[in-house]
Amino acid sequence: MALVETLAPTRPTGFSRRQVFKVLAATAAVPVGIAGMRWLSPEPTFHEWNGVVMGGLGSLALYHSDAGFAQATIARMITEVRRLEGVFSLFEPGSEISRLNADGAVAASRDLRAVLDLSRAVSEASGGAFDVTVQALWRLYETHFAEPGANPAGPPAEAIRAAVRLVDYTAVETAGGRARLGRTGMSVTLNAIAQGYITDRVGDLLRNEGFDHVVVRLGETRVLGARPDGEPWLVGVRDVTGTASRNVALIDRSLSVSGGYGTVFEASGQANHIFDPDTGRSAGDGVTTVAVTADRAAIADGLSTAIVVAGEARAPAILAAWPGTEALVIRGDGTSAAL
Amino acid sequence: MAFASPSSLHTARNALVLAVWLFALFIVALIDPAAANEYVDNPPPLIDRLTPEVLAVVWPGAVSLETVEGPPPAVAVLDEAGEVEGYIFSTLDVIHARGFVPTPFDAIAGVRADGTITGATQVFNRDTFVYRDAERTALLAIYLSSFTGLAYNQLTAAPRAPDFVDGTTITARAMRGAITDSARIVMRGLFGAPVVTEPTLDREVYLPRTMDELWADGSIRSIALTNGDIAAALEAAGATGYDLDTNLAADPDELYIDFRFALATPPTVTQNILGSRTLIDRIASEYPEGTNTILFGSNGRYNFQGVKFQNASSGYRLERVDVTQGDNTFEFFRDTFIRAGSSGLGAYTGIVAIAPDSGFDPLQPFSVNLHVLATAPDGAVTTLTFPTAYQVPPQYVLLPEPEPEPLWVSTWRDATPQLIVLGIALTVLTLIFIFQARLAQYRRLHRWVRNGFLLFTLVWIGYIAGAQFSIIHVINYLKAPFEGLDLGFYLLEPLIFVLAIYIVVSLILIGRGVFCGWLCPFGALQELSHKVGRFLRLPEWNPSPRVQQWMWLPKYGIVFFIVATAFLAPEISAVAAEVEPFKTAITSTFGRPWFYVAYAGALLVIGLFSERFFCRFLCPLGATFALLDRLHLIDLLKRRPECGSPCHLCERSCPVRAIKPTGEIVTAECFQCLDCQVEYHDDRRCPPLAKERKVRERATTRPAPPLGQPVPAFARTVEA
Ligand code: SF4
Ligand code: SF4
Repeated sequence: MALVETLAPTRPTGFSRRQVFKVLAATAAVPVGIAGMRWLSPEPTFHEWNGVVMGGLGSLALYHSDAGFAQATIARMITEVRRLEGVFSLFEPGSEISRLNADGAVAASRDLRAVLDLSRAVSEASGGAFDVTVQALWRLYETHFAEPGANPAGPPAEAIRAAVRLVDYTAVETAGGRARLGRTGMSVTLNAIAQGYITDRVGDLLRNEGFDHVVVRLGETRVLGARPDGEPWLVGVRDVTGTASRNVALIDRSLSVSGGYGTVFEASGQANHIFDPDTGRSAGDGVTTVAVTADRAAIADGLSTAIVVAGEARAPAILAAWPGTEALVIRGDGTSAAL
Repeated sequence: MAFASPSSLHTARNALVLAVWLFALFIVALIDPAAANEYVDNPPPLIDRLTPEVLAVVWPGAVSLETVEGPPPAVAVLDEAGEVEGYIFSTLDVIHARGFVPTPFDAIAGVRADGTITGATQVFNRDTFVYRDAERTALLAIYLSSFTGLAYNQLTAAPRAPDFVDGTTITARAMRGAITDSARIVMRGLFGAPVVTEPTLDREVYLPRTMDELWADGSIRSIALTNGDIAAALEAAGATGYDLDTNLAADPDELYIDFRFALATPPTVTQNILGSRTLIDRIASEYPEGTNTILFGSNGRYNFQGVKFQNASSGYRLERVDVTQGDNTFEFFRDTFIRAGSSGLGAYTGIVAIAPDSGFDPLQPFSVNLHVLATAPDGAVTTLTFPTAYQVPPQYVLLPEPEPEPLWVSTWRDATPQLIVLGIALTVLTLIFIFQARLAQYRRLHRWVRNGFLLFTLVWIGYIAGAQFSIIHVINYLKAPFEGLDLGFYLLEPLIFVLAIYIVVSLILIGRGVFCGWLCPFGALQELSHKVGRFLRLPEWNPSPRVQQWMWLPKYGIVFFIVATAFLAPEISAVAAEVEPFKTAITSTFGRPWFYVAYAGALLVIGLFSERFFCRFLCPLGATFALLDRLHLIDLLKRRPECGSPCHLCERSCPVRAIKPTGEIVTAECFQCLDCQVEYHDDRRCPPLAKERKVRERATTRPAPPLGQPVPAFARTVEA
């Protein structure tokens, strides 16, 4: 029966010259069509967002040809950022971290647990140089320098000793969907790592959405891909003088810069926002600025803080715990070293 | 990672290429967001920025200006008497706000003490979409001027006119936000406006008002009674022969009392009526905080005060006036009543104090009762009561800042036109499926409808609306319970959200084909390009049914891999999801790195020779839907017993070879294109139907068979 023949795959039996030509022409037509579509549609450009994230300035830059799609994506990313601020921001009284500090325990979201677990890992790798429980010291210094005519040497020694007793990352527990602080009066700050986590979350989402050239700067910097011209992104690292004297080249990578120049309590810059959990004094002796690059911004974020506190000598050991991380250390005398 | 040495990285090699120059600029912006800009770093004093043109928009008719240091810095607008009418501020000075680009803009606006914006404009911006574009700059100016007369915290949302696009909208929104935020800071810093969390009576702010204004805006209420009114009331009360110091009947039109009163807690009321703050200060010092006050005043023969409140015998009670609110009555005594001489309210004026714990709520309506006491010759007293209702006017009520509207709300509002188009399209599609059996009877109509819809899907859904549904959406929805992503995150894509609901319903009812066959832009692109190939008679290739059974499987593996890694190793998942060329071919119109473009192009080339090759064998999204497809409740596609044996017409007509040699349709692979149904209904091609037609034709050309003769069994249609 004639119909049965059509069951067999419709494999052409030998091409005529004409058919070969047709196949080639049709194949060639596809790239031409694609080029035509490119020509018809808008050139890809950067679509930017600037705003405040976790109390600091943040920005997003997405390279895309569809402006509406890029803007809509930005709006969704900001929604996610705002949600995460509701977890990590010390400025929001209702945030998970604020409640953890106030009550000593909180039902922790996946995000809070992830950051606390990563923090602990960084603390362990750095022998306690990185410690999220330094918030007690931070508060002590903040109130000290808020007084007019405060002693420029910093808070009194016994007050520091009392605060140091409340600094112990091992007392922070995450288990069974809860986070708990083991000592009364203890409090945590995730400022040194949550921004990296937020940067990562947004970076991951954007990668999923198919953005190839992206700069996410939400407290830390993460880039997706290279620049549209194929060159690496260059990010300037500022030293203590505030000048961006060195550039870091990034492709598909994250950068975190830590150093005492961030929030300064008093004019000489002696007491800054990174504390040595052992001494309770501001860190930064010898090393003034540390730039860490890693695949993920949260890791770069934690490691750069840890190295500023731990110092250059211990940096290689800390970096070794996360293969693929590298650091640039700028010393007080202006010299630098890549580790 | 390369840590380059200082400053050597901007090599001259690329400097000539314009694009690179732009990126370098971008990098400079990254290194130093506040890229040196003279205007932004050292703006001229605000008063110098207030050129006549700017002032004409921001505060037309301003009499005199005076710089105030603040904080926040501003320029005070003074009236003839030297009183502050309000302030003009610059968003650059107050909050340094930025919009679409890192360089802050400068919007200037004026605000009055009552929070209304007197006018707004922008004097500086570096937004690439607006700056140097006269038309958009004009649109922005029109938008900003629309704030005039609105409360600073209730400014109108940015419009969405077609040419008011992209960056302009962002900048317009940013300017609106900046004006609201700056005005709030001015209100607090310069007017001392308190911050409230619930509606609160204004106890702080004094604004100059004339008596006429107070009458007009409802601050003062009154009741006027003539002798005749009183006489009538007495009569109605059944009382006659009363001594009211006057012969009521003699001069019925004479004013008996004109009683006025006002809630006096807001300083604007009291100070304007009494002409000074003395009494306000006295009450503040002598009575507890939160005390409410009411001013009374009267003209006419009858005086609201009476004299009894001075007598111990009457308990020092102000007998002629009291206040009721709900079930509460508030009476006044010597210690809660202060006389105030004569004032704008009348020859007799006084103020009463209501204790904060008395249960009186000044925001709720209350009633002030005037009592006229009439004493009969025998000493019996009749009291006539004249209540007047009072509701505090809204200008004295401080409202909390409205909760900022969630972003998705405005997104849905902005997307209304698109939602309407999508709604119509989905309605049409639903109708197509409801009437598919009918449609399939008209080969040409079906072809037009089908190709038209595919074209719509490709062009509008895909390229114009950018609503290509993707495996990433599936993953985001799957992850929702675990990642705690905000609902707003999903709602911010209105079209995708609506599509997702439609897809789920269609999967449950009919199957994967509703989406894949009709709503997927990339699917439409493949099918349309393949149709062009058919038109050009390009050779076609399809695997044999046996081979195809195997080739159907990899897509399930791919989706399993993508979903599993999405939870375990998101980085890998993101790469694996690139199997899907949607982002390349649809969302970014091939504007991606070359390897993605090459991959998408290769799939399209293959698709020219093999219908929907990607859909059938590779697509993870299609596979996801094919898996869920097991659910489908309705089998729309009709079959005959002859299908598969002996007939194979439909099987051959199915463009994606979703009909088994046995005649059974594999719904997981069916795209609901309805081609097989067209064959099914074609009485010239479908053999059983053709035979039936011939029987019928023979019956009409030949003499009709006698009645009651059975139709040959072969001609009867049986539906599976
Ligand atoms: S199989 Fe994939 S590409 Fe094809 S129509 Fe379905 S979702 Fe679209
Ligand atoms: S022809 Fe094939 S794909 Fe189209 S409806 Fe029939 S079975 Fe489904």
